[in-house]
Amino acid sequence: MMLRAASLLLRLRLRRLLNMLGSRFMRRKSSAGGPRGATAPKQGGATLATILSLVMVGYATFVAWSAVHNVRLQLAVPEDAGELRWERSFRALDAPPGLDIFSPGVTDGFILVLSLIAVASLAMSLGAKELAAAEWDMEWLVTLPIPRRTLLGVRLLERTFINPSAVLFMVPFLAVLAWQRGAGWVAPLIGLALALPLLLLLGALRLAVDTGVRVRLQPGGLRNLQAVLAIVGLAMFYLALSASISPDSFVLRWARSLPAAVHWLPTGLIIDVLAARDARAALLPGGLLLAQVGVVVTLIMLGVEHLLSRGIVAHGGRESARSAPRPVARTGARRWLTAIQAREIKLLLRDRNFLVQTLVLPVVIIGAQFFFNARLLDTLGEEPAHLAAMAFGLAAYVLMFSAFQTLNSEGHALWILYTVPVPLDVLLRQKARLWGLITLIYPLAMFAFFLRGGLTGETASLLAVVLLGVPVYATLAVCIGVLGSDPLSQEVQRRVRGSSAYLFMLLASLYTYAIYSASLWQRLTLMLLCASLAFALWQKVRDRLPYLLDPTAKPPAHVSLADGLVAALLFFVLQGVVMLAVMSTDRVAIGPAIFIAFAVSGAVTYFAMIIAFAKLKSLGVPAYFGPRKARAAGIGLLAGAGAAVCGVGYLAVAQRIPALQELLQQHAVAFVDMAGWITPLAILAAPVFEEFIFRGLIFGGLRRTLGRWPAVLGSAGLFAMCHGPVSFLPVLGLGIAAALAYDATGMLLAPMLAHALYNTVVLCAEWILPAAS
Amino acid sequence: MIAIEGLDKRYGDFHAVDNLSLAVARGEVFGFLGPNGAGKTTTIRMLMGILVPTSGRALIDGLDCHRQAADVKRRVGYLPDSPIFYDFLRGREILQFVGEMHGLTRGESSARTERLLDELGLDDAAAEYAVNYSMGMKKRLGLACALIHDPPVLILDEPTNGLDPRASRDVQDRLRAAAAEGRTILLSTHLLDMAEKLCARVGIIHKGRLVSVGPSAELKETLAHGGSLEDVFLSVTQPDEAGTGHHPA
Repeated sequence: MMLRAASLLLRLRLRRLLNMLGSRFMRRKSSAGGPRGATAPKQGGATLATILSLVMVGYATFVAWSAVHNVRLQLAVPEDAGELRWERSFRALDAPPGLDIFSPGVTDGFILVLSLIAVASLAMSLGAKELAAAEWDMEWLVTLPIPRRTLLGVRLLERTFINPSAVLFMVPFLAVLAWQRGAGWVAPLIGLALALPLLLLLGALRLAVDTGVRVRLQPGGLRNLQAVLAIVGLAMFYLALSASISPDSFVLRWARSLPAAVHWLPTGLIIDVLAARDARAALLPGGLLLAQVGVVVTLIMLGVEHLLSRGIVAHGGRESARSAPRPVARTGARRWLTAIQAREIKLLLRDRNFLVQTLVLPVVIIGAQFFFNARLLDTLGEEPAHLAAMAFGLAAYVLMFSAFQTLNSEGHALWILYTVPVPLDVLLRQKARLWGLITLIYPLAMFAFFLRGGLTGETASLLAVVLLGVPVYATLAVCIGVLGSDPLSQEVQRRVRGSSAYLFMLLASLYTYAIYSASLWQRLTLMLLCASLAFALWQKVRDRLPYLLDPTAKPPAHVSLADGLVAALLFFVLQGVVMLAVMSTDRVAIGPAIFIAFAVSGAVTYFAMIIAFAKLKSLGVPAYFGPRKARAAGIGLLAGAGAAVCGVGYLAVAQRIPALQELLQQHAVAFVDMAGWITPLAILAAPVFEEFIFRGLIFGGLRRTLGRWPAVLGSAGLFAMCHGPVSFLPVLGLGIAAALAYDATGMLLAPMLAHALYNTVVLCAEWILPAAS
Repeated sequence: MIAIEGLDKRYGDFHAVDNLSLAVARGEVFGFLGPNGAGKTTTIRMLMGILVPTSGRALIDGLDCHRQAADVKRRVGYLPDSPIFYDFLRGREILQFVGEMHGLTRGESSARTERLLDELGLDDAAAEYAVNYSMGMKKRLGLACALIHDPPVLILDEPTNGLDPRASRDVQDRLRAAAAEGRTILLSTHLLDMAEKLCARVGIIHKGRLVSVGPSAELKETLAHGGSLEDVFLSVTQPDEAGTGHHPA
């Protein structure tokens, strides 16, 4: 009966773990099938889980091997050997004739690494959400007809064996050591056998805290404990991992100063068993280990049983606020915050778990980099670009834990926001603004702390790049968080797809190009691109939000900035590809090649977009013609004339500036060479295709959600940016004029004529002006 | 005040709400009855703009519940079937927050919060985190959230579900008072005697279709030949055959 109960409970726990793994990797957005995302087992899930487990075991073995290797590099040779140490230790590793790989100094290193793994896995398993969750499976389990002692025994077994992080890192580490001891192919078994006592001990300790201490702690205290353990676990894990990354890790230097008493710890005894010269020598540490673990585990079990003897629920499941003083009415800060921002701050201050997860965890993750690489500290002070990159990375992490979760953190109470007369996108924007502001503190603090040379022009510009990036990425984080989340999912932790977090980090790493790029132009271009991307995603999110809680409905497709960006990207990439293809034939000169590449990619882009819009039944597809063509033509020519006057004026001024003069000269010479091809391109092809993309899609997309002037300036800015720094200003003028013409007439005919007229006039001027001067 | 016109909601092949048409006049208390899974909550969620109709539309005060959702919510107080609140916020703070989100000033919101907490008997619990509330307290807090902005329309999903008899009576009295003030109320329930006492008219929905609608006395007369509302309910919601009763015009 007892065995049956034990095996049932263990199988249940294992099944739950597998389901969790499966749902993590196999989750798909539930589509029209059912009203809710049903989690039916999927074909191929088991195969994938097996493959992933193998990959993880492989990775853990690699990490273990690296750690063992590094411990020996650092500790096998006396410290005073100086520079030679590296070389000698490498040789020592290959051929260890004179050197005992389990010499006392080295075993200290192994003990340290093993202990770190043990503490990390214990803290991490306790730091998971379960500890402070209001619902507790014990409350249900004690209603089953099983004696309490059996229940606790099963819980101990379950916590011993179903402890993925400990098993995953401890067993390979011990197996690698056994292999090095010459155990051959039974090394994994020896690793497992040696890990077992430690796993049992960890299981008992975990049981003591999450079952024993749990009943005695107030829910608030439990949450604090969990928050602290989560941080400690992560820090320990990084410390352990740092041993595998570099032999120079100061963790390994600590090993030199470990007291001899560590050999009496269970981890020390395990290493001593491995280090023993023969089976007889292993008997003493082995016996001691078993006795130690046996005594400690028995004591813990008796203790827990005693703690549970007065019932398993000593407190309510959640923090009670009754003891807290009544909130003091109104602080001054409230005036600066909207209702939802004030609520967010209140939740942040009360929920210490949330506080630690959002504000402290990123610092630990970034701070861990200093563990891995001790020289980083100096580098940051000396190289402002590294500092800026690190500061932005920290900000991105903070955003990932905060702004990224804006929708998710509403949890099951999201319905409240659906009952108030404020659109959800406005609320999310307010939250994004709040988190963006909070996040700004981190890069500012890093700059204040590390910047030794004071604020120079370069560091000020880097700081500006970082600070401007924060609101852009706060928006991106909110958007990706919304698009990658499933608010209907019952499990709050599963609501955000892991892949979307990676996507956000990938995009964040893109921004470091803006930090490291040498020229201001590149920097601005990248920043503008990231900002456009953020805005494009924001539009998608705005469209999506009214449909968010409906699993089957989709917003009607509408031309938006995202379509414009896709079209522009397609257009430029295709130009490059066609150009390469045409030039590789060797028969086409550069002039016609440019023309062909431009016209072909423009036409392909146009038709691809039109077909896509037709398939999606998109609304707001730009049209070349509409009613009242004559009026449109008039407005277009007028706008073109205005832009052309500005363009010629710019050229005239540029002629007087030596730096620009030369560039313009080259331009004119190239033009004369290819005039026969450039003219039709500039007057015919460019207006037709560029106007479709930049006015039709990009301006039209922006105009959907923006006022006239922001949309005009935004689209003109992108348009001018694509034409390079020299012609930025006049092209910006053309972009503004063309967008205004399109806005006034609603058909592409107007901006097309403006564009054609402008190009004609400016080409003539470029040709005539240098000649005149 | 509430006009539902040919409302349809499909999940794949499943018809959750099937061509539903219904009108609730200004100041009327309308009871929305039906067995579990009949489509009551789906309809109410479409009224609140949480779900999007597959076809047809729902109007409140002439405003489309999906396209003009924000304007609709200014006029509507909503109580879901099982309200869930934020961790770490007290009942009073949640009510204050909802009031401010409806555009009330802090002072106004605070005054109304105190009044509603008092009216709904939540005074003692107001300083406690709302997640710790019992189901009945949560319902009452939800009702307070629905009333805080003094809306002309109330949409209540099972307002007395989970309440003890006294609390249930208090809520019914509160709703009667709200109706006397001229509010339009649409409430869903499967408590037939409550519907009979409280509602001027009832509509019975079965498998997504409205199978009968009218004053309960009239329904009893025509459908159950003078029997009870329960008889009416059972006769029009037979498990196998849907829509045997009267179809609305």
